[in-house]
Amino acid sequence: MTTEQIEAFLAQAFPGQPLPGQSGLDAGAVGDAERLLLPEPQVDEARTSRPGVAIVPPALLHVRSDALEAAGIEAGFDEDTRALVLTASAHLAFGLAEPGQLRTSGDAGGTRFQVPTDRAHAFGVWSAAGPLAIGSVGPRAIELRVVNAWPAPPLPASVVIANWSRWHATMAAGRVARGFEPDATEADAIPARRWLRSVTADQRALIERFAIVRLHAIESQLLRLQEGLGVDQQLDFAWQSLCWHRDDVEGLRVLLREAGAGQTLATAVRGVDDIGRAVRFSWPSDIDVHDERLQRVSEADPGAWWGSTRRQVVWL
Amino acid sequence: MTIAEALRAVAPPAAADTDDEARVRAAALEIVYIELHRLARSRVGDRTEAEDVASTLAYQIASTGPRDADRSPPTDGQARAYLWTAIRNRMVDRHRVARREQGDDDLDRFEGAVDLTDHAEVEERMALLTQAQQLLYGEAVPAIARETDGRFDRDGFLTAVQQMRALHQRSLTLDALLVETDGQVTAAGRNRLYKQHERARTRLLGALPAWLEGRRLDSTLDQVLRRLAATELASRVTRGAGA
Repeated sequence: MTTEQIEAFLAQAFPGQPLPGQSGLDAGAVGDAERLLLPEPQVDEARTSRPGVAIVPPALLHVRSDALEAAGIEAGFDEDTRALVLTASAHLAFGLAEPGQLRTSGDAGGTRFQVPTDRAHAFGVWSAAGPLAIGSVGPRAIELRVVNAWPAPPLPASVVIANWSRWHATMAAGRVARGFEPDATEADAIPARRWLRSVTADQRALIERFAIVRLHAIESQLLRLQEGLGVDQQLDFAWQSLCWHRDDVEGLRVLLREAGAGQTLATAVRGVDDIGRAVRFSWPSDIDVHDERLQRVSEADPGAWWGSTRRQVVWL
Repeated sequence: MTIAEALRAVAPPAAADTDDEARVRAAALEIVYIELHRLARSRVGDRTEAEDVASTLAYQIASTGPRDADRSPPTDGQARAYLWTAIRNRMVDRHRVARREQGDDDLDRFEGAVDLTDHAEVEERMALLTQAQQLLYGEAVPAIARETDGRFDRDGFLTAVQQMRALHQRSLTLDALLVETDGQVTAAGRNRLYKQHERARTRLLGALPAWLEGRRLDSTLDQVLRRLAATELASRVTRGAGA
């Protein structure tokens, strides 16, 4: 999809949202494209398949999409119907839109949708608060882009990294607001803290949704550790990464709280922190996880389980 | 306002939504600072150091607030324990860094990029380490330096990385570095180096995962390189008070 096509599509599919160029849906709000190649039917499968006699419903092929995953949506591919199947849990309900299709908030209350791939078309994934992702189906592949439909945060130039997405910039705003960015000053923290008061309630709800999805990923990693299941990398690096992610969510919680929002996130955080504290409480003493950021957490909030393993935690 | 209430309400007053809220935050900040100072003075002999610790921590604790009631100590006794833990966590780190500068390796918990006593294939591991060093300093650092701008210029970033590496390898001491750059060892010089190294380290370690993702190294080499960066570029300069 070209930039013009994306803008036209968003304007058509999300008529309630600000247009590109206005606050909210600017070019930086749309993430990089990812291409998912459509599976080709095997010659033998095509020759031997007998439609109508299958007893067991076919399992979906797992589809890995960072764009959809960030929005809390799982994707699978149904080889029989050749459709992309999108699912989410009830509290992360969503809807589908096609260009020109009128949508209302109530339409975003679904948890399972199918995107046919037998014809070229564009589609959008949205929540009641606004767009989450856009996609286009081509003859051989599906192109997907995450949409972070809120304005860019006020960040000092010294902090911004050129290829940051809107999501990365938003998390950086959380770090700046809490004085966790070494390149930012105390004065930089104030506009960052006030930023979410100037955006719409829907935009805050979108940020909260993405933060909750991030929190779910932390929760599943914590549960794996708690249950003694393996992680993809060395335990110390896995824990460091987990702590950084939890700290990023903490930054978003602070930003939302400063704007009088984020109650759903705060509730979700409590449950995850119970697990985090349990894992940290029984953390093996010979596995050392320490860096300057985690040291800072241990100083600024000694009740946080995601601080340095060399430092004490107050069990609140 | 009790200490426990102050700990819940404390947050940067300048970011408050209303004047009333700003006053509450400022009052809470004062209570937290006074209690931190009192606790620090009772355990830390040096008055200036106690004030430094109390003011730094009061700012940090305010920056992470306001706190929800269920994430904050409910009583004054527990609030004091919370503040004391914050002081302890900071003091331990200050002393660790100071001792490490004096050459006390016992407190440096990083074991190095490769454990040479663990397996027989020492040569293979050394080759892996050499390869990781070449990649880190020959490719990753220059690539990340190309993207630096703003207050941190490219040359400043590269110089800071070289200095941190030299300090790690002990081919350069902090005093020698300050004499070389400033002609004398001062607290101000130490502060400047601390800031420069902290910024360079944050920039490098922040950008390294994306660089590694793009480079798609073998997973073992990837892990060795990450550990190498964390080890060789760990903090070895503290703020100026110790100079």
